[in-house]
Amino acid sequence: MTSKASTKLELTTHGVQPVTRNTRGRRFWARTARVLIVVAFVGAWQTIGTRSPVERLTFSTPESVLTTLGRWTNDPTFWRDLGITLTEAVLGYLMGVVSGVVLAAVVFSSTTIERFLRPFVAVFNALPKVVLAPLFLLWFGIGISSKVYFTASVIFFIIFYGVYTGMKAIDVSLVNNMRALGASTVDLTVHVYAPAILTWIVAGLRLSFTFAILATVLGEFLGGTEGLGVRISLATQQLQNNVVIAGIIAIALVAVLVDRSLVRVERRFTRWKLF
Amino acid sequence: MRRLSLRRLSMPAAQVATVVAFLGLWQWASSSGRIDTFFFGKPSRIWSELSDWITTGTLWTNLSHTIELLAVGYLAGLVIGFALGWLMGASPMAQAILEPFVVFMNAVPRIILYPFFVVWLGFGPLPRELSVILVMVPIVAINIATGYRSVEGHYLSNMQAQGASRGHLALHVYIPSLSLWVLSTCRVTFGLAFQAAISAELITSNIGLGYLAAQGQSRFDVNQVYAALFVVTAVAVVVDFGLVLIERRATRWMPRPTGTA
Repeated sequence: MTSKASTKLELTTHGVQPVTRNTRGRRFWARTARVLIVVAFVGAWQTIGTRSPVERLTFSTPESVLTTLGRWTNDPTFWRDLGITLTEAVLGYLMGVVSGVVLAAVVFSSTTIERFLRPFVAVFNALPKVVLAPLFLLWFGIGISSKVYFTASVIFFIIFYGVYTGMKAIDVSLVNNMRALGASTVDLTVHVYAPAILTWIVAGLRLSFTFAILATVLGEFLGGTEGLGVRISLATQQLQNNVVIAGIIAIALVAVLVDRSLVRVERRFTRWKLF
Repeated sequence: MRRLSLRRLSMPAAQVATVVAFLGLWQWASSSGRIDTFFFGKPSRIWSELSDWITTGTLWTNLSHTIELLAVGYLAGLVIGFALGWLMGASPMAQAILEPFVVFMNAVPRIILYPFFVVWLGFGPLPRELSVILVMVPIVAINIATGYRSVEGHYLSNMQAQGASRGHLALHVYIPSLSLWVLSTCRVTFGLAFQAAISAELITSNIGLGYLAAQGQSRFDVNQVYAALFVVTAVAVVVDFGLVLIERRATRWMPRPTGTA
């Protein structure tokens, strides 16, 4: 319970909190503890990995994973794979967003359509979308297009559902006021609906883009010729666990980097929160 | 009165009619060769696939495995996430140490760790359970930690003024209010757990609903993929309906925000 009075405040992830000597000391120890945890983890991993050939094969070692990652930085085929995975994720994401917003707008514009589609939407919303991956691979083959469409379908449902509930949550008095002041549907779209949708998309960007990367990698894993997922899949079959782990770390790094930069975008856009 | 009930029935009737018409059209187009059955399949073949699964017991074997995986993974993930979140909520030190790790984990698409688990733990159910647990833990932990901190201070002060111990506070304030957090997010967390379970079964597995779909894909048998899809959808809808009831029951007493449906 930090109800102690203090003049200095700071913005943390949990809102504004007072800075006390206590928090400063705690921050130092927390940082030390985190470093120790990481060091202990890597040390234990290295020890286990070098204990016997079987364990080396199973767990690999931080050393050989780092060597693999280092080799990849000079390997044009790795950058090509990374580029393909990211391209698929971004294209799929954009397709999903556009189709999701368009359909949400159509459904929102008519109560009859909305009531008609409600059970179908509920069913698709409950469905774990990843199960559609085999279908897309059968339909579109193992090239890039099957991953793009699969990612798009996953993103479509997230965006459609989010935008739709977002539009429903728009304050009715806002719309009524504008109507009373003589606003047309176009005015309403430009000044109320579009900003609301944009805010929602930006707010959901982080969550949905992580899903886009996941869907792409999963699609590549199940059947593909290029991309990071294919790299990991091949290494799994060849029992090259240092490559599997290096691939996982590469994807994790990309996901975290994208996430960190999207935090900035989100902050920029939600500074003025309208809806 | 009569017109009203007629109007109320017309929408479900239209919905059922659309589904029936769609299936009929699909069947007609595929049997008359207007669409390629290799890509689009055929409703009657999907149906015979499904009834085959029922008579041979394939359905039950795979369905029960997926359900077991979900139950074990979901509950274990919930318990571990709850404990971790409680620790982070109750101790600012634990929070400061653990939060970066949890946030990092949450940003990583954790399903991709599954291939590593397979090499490590073999082809049994363990690596699949571990990946469902791993998907659950950071989300539950973050939710619980936030929930712990948002417990109203005056409840605690009141209880403490009346001489409540930490155990009393945990039993009568924290556990009830945190359980509510768990219940009110159960649809989202269950959806993620289901997603993880199916993904793991798709990637490398020899049993489960995801495996049936992946097997259909590798056999180029689109009807089998559709049949697996149908079963997964049925499970998802039934469970989701149950969770809606639980969620509604859990939050029924809460004041609803006005103006939203």
